[in-house]
Amino acid sequence: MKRWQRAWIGGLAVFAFLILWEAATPLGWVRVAGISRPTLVGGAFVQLAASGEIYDGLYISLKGFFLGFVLAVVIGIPVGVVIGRYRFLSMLLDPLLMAIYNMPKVAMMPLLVVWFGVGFGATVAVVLLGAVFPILVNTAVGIREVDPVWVRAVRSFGGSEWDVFKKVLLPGSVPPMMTGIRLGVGRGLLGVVVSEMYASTEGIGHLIGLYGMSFRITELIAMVGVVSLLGFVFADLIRRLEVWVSKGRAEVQW
Amino acid sequence: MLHIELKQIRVTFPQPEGGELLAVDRFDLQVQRGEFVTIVGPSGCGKSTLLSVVDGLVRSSSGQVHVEGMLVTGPGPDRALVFQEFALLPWRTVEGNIGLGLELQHKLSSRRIKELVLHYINMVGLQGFERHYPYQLSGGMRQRVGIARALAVNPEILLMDEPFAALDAQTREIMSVELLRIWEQDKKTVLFITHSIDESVYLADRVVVMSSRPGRVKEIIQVGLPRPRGLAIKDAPEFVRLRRHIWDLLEEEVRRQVDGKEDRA
Amino acid sequence: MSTLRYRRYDTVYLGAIGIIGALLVWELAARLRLADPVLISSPMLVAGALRGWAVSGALWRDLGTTLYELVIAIGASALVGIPLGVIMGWNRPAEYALDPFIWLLYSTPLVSFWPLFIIWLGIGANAIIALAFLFSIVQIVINTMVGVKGIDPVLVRCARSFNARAVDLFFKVTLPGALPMIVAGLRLALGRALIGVIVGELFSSNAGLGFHISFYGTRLQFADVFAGLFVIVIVGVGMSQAIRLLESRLVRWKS
Repeated sequence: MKRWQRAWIGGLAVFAFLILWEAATPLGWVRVAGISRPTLVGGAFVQLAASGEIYDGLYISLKGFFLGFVLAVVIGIPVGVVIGRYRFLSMLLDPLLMAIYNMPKVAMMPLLVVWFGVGFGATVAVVLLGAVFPILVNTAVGIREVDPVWVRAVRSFGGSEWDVFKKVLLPGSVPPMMTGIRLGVGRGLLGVVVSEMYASTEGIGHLIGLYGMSFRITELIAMVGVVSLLGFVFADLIRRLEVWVSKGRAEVQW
Repeated sequence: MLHIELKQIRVTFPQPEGGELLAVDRFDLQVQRGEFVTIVGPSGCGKSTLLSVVDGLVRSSSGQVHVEGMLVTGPGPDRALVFQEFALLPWRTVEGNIGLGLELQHKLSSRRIKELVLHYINMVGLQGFERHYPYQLSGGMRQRVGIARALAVNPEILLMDEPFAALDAQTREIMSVELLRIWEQDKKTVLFITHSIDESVYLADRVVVMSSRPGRVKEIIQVGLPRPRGLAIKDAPEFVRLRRHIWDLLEEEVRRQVDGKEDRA
Repeated sequence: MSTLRYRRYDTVYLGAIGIIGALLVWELAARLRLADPVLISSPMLVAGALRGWAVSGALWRDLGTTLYELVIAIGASALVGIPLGVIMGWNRPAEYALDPFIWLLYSTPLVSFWPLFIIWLGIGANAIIALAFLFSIVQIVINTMVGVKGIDPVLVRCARSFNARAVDLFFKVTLPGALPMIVAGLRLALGRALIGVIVGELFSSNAGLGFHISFYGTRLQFADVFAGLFVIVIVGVGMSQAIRLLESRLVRWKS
């Protein structure tokens, strides 16, 4: 009943927003050139989809995103585990990591386009940089905060360091790891769009920049909608994954 | 003189799956001014709900509560609650917490409030802890703050909702002695909820034994033990007899509850 | 190894060793030409670039511009976001109604709004502030809402039993109870606002730390780019430390 209410009120609010948006121009509140209208945007979306422009852009963007993100997971989790397990390493690296963690990685765009090439290379690099630190840091925190009693329990039954890793530390640190992955997805998507808007000749971000520069607001908003939808879908998938991996755990966090 | 009168109180709560839960049913009670009444009952019998109804935080589905002949429709300055969970604002010091009720009433100047707070800090024996935050206090001290906060608004009725349930056994005894010492000073009317039989007999002029859900009055027991009472009174034959009697009544109720559950299963 | 005990000051000097070590590796890599020195620059060159930037006075202008945009954006976010979060935390229908918008803004790569801001507000500080505002407000709304909803219901019952007025309930219970979450939200929001400001400056502006990076980046003067990144790190870490300090002062009452 409550879930039903939530969907109902939320849907109504979105509908009301669209109506207001649609009506704003005919009612003379703003010029149509400034904010377009949902019906126009919907039409543009259908057109862009029919012409294949959206898929081509999405394909390029997603390719860069997935490569960068997979690299971030492959590097971030093992390094995070090691840093989280060994106090000495974490003390050595903490300030350095904090400094880099706090820096908006998108600020490195001018370097990345030269180092890895405009377009695909720079995109992969900025996704990797954006996603790897949240994953790494949260994994390390997760490992560090696993209850030492569990480690002692495994040890007392004669478990090896590998047993401790496999049976206690890894499963115990999954929830923070998922938090890192969620943050990483957000940073990665941001990186893709920034990279393609900054300097690229393909991808969704490039299209957004292009329509923006030619003041084609309707197509621009349609493209922003595509990116928003993408972010929404990713966030939702991650949330489902989080619920799934934390099934049976006491703390389910989103 | 009649102070509080509960007439045919019935409280129901809507259930998430639909339907209603009958928490309290046909509850009658009359409390005299200056009387100390304790209410015991099996867990889940609606005794805390009943107290909320008297305070005015929860509305009864039917029936009425009168205080001094006036119908209760909401919380009022003539009644003050003491909570099982202490309910201290963690960001306020002892002083700040004790003054909370007075502040919320907007009747006195802050200087007057400060004076009163000091008075009640002394009364509950928290001198020297004025500037401490709740996390720096033991459970017993926290509830002293809770009691002082309730007393500070100078209510005519003190409503106590299992105030010592979260304390360890020893602190609990000390606190009940302290409570009687404080109560003897001006003999406010007290409604005291507990699930401890010892506590109910030790403190009360009358003990109300409630049935399991839906909560009704099972029996009202007059406690004739002389006052002021010390802990030694717990060895008096009369105390032992009353304790035994209440124990038997409650055991019956708990059995009924358990049997009821098994029947359904 | 993990069972070794470390003392408090170990974190300080080990951390310092970590940073100095990284700089040393970087310097050596450039000196020994393990990587193209033009591409990776070197700590010494970066220090020189930083000095030149400061001496010319441009550093202070750029820093001032970035901080100005950051402060306006975060201030506006707090001004709008905190009341919005309180409303969502207090009123269930309001929460349900605003939820889809908040979720969308939280999961969207918000830079995609940049061309719209350019069209609506023109190139310059206004568009940058708008982008940073959008980046930061979601975090503030969410944290405030969670903070308000997380208040112990028994404290609200207690205030009600004393016949508290709605205003008192808000200022004496709700707000102080939610404050730790709100301040933590501000700290996270600052990081997000910084991303917004830097991206905006990177794309189009004529002042600010992002502009500095973009300007020298296109001229392949990477020592200056690294100098810019260094100052951004200082700004980011400095601001988040400042809020942490505020946090620890505000929650002295927590065990």
